[in-house]
Amino acid sequence: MKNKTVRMVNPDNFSNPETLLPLILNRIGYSPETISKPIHEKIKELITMGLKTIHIDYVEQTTQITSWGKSSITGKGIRIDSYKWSNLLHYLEVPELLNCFVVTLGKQLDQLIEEKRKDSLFDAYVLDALGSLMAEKAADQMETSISNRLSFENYEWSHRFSPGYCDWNLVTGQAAIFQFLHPETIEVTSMTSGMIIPEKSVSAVIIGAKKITTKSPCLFCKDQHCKYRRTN
Amino acid sequence: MNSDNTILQTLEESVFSKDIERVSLVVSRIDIQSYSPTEIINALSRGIEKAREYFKNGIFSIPDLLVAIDAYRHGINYLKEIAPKLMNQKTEDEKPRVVIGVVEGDVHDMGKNIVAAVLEASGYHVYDLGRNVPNETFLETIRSTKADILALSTMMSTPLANMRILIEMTKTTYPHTAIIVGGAPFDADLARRMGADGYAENAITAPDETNKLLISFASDKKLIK
Repeated sequence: MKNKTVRMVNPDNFSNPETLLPLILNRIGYSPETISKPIHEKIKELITMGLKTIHIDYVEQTTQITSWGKSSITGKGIRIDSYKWSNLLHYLEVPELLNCFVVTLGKQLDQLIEEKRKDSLFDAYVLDALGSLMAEKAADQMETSISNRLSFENYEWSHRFSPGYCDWNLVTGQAAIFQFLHPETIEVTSMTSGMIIPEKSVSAVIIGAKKITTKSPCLFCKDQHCKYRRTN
Repeated sequence: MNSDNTILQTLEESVFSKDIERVSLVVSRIDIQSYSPTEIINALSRGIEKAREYFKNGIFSIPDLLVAIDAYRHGINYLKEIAPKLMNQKTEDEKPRVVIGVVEGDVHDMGKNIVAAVLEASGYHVYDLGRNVPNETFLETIRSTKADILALSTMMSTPLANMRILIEMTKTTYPHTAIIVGGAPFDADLARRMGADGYAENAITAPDETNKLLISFASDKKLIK
């Protein structure tokens, strides 16, 4: 089943440069207290300019889990080779569903960054930070929206996870998601290295089960220093 | 040449005080008959050097440094516009040559762009090949430019295998070209195991590492053992 029913990014929350400004400042390492007025205004201007180029689109699909073993989860049309995430399934009650999605901000922002880079590294840096922030926000929104929708069908959901993180290989993971979803339909492609084009795009999977007490394998993982370690 | 360097000092200050408009204004007021292009470029570069010092001492953040680099580039571009003949090939030929790019398979180029700009402002002649660059393009450019330094970047681990091949080919074919690497997957140990001669921990200190590499290569010693 292919869905296009996710409620996407709420413009009220994400299209206001004033709301985004402190988040961007934090991301690029500027303190709001020390920033000069011209720079402050310049960043706001860039946020406004960048937002105009963002056209969020996505493709997502939910499939049944058919089996899982020690190091992989198999669904109809996709296999996820991850020891840690398949191990998590042993702690879930009746794991039944996989939801995969790819969300993108579109190619115009990439083009704007490239164009700006020629004249101003500062402008390109701010726009790049805006793109990273917005891509993350869009993926958060996808995760929340999919979880909410499927909770009506009495499923609980894991955190989202992406190829290249945890022990899921970037190259094979990206290939699995792209073969399953065909995000070329929304003009998103993957390089053989696993890199997604447009750059500000996210691919991810979430697991659905009747009861989920822990949303990621982090609790069982021995890598205490992992910077992506979650607390639940 | 002119012994009154006030205007050059003002130019230098305008760069490290991140005042792009003032850089344009000062450059436009410089009498190009009284100052050599090298003197003017050196003043702009001293501004960047001071900005880098500020960054190292925690006074500047990365965006501050980028505004200073933008100011520097404004000055250089203005000079190229008003006095293209003065920005002659000889000036460029005297500089050490760096070929830089993001290796094939990766398009993350923000760090590489900053390194390229900082190196240029620090007196290098930079040949920026962009991103997702095939090995053959790197090798051909090293040949055609007689590069002193090959600077390779990636933010991903998947292009590392191909990058190792490029490093090996460069060392075999162009043994006098020093190789420096940088990007998220690297530390000094991985850089060494990949066969690189140097490792740039971050974009701002890249010129320091590159300078050391040039000196060590001249004395036939590797920077990372």
